[in-house]
Amino acid sequence: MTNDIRIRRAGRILTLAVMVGSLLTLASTAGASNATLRVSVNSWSRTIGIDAHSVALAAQNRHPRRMTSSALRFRTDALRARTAVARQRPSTAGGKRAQKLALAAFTHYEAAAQGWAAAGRARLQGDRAVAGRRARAAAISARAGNKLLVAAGQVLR
Amino acid sequence: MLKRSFAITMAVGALAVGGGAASALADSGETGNTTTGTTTMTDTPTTVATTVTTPVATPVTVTTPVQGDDVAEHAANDVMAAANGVQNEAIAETDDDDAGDRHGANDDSEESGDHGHHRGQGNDQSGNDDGDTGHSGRGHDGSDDDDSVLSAQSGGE
Repeated sequence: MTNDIRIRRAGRILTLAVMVGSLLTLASTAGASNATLRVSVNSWSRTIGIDAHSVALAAQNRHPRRMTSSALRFRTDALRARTAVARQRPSTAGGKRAQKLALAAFTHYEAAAQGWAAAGRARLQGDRAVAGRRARAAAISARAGNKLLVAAGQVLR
Repeated sequence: MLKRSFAITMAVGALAVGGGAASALADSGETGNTTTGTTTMTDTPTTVATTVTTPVATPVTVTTPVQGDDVAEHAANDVMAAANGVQNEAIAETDDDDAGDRHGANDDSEESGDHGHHRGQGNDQSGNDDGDTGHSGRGHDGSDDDDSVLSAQSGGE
């Protein structure tokens, strides 16, 4: 009789321990997915920032060719960033929201880069009016992308 | 016999709980990094204001820079600076630095000197902002530069 009680108690403890362990493991897996997303977004944000700096530098130095090639590189990286972030599988609602924001941000950046490249080419051809229009449109896209990227970063923080 | 079975049960339970807790603790940091405390300075945000003056056209000034020291916010600041730089370049009445622009327009030597330290997908934020003002002028590719930048016109738009 005493043995039965001990066996039942041990069984209950074992079940409880397994349940607690499973819960903790699940929680840690969710955290890992979001952490991976955060690493990806941060990493690509850094790359995008570097490319943007390159564009700004070329523009500041009045180098439209370099500005154009830098803008094209920015565009390529924005597309790569989109692909990389889309590949992530966030497990929480916050993570999924951050992913959507980041994807939208990189889409806007891609549009901005296209505008910068177009502005650079127009500038090379001496068409200042077109260059100005393209640059203004690109700035709107860039601003929208910025808001979304910062929002994504805040969600992932 | 029962004592042994009870001891084994307890040991398994403890392992499960301990493993779960350790996993959760390990995942709270970024992959491959030791978990360390992060202090976010929100009371003294860095304000980046870029004003590029052009002789005739009205310069575009960043009026609402993104503040903070988050990676995404840094990237957003760089993108905003690029957007303003391109706008200024597009409407500038002054002539472009054509000779400087043609010097290695596609190898982005000036920019790559600056960004070589930062590139890559790691989390390393080290690197100096060197080469910003330097003009390496390596390799004169001649008319090839024009072709490649302008040939991307159809693809970019």
